[in-house]
Amino acid sequence: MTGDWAIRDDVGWRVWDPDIIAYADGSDETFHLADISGWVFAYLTRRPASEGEIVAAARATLALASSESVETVVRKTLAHLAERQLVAQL
Amino acid sequence: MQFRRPERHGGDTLFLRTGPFIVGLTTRIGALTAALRQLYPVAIVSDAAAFADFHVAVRRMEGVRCWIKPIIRFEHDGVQVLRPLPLSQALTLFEWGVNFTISQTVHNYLVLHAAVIERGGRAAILPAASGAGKSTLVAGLAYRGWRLLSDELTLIDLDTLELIPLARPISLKNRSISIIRDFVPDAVMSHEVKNTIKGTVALLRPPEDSINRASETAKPAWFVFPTWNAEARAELRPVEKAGSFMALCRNAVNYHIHGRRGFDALADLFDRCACLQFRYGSLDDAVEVFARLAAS
Repeated sequence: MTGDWAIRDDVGWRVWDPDIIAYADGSDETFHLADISGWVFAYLTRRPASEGEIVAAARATLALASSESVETVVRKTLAHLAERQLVAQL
Repeated sequence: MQFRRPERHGGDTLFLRTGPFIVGLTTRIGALTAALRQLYPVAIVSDAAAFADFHVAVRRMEGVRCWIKPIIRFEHDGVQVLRPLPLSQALTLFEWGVNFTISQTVHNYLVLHAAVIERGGRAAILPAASGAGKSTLVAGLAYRGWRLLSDELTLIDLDTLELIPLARPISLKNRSISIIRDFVPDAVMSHEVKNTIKGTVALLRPPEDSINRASETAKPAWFVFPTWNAEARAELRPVEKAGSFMALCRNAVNYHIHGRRGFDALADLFDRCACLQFRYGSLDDAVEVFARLAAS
């Protein structure tokens, strides 16, 4: 276990800027990912990454309007994507 | 056209070719078979069918009440599907029943609830909610240079992503009936079926060219989402793909059955096609805009 986050092997997706659609074999559901969830998923389409790396990239790239910290937003987003069987920790 | 011997429940069997399917209809309702003769030209009615993809029947219900107000039911393989309707709605019950049967059983294709038209080798898929003016638009375009592949159900080959023709009669509702009568005065249309759940309905026979090319598949080029508004100037506008994809998934007939294969096929289709929103108020203007689209 590296702890890095990655898109699950049983997930299909398309990136149609600015959004993403993704299909999870595990739940047989299709999702429309926009905003931060779309950004995190798109980041992971390039390669697996640790939470810290995603947070650093988000801080450098995004201007989040949330009152929560970037760490919290990214952690919640990863949990949200994992719950939907779209991403998993390696 | 050929009528076969009476079957188990009585009635003659009429074999209709519709797209890639043969429908064997058993009925004793003469007005229904007369209307079908008008809507399905002789060329597409099999005269030697010993095989049918679907065995359906439209029959009168039995019971005292049914003598006072005749009620009919639609059966597929001897099982009633859809709610029974008054005898006067036999034609619409048959058409809806066949559409329902195809959508519930034809899972070798990805099936969307959308119309398809083609011109110059490129096809437009037109998904739309009821009342958006889809059938009126499709009827108008089918009689102005576009080939009708389907008014109601889009059949997609999961391997090639080609669109399979299913040129069935176009279902026109309420005001659309007079609009198309004015727009295509010589078109063949059924009698008006009144008081259906969709209001007054009349069925329009597809143009001969669409019927004659029933085995010619088409390559998809556009998704066009139409809406009718009396005041709207006819205009096509690009629309973002992800939201359109999700809207289409929610409205697809059997997307959920195909799992990952269905997702990949539909996503590949969206990769290949432009996504456009179309608002229109006048059919003449719509024809012009679509002619420009075909020429683009």
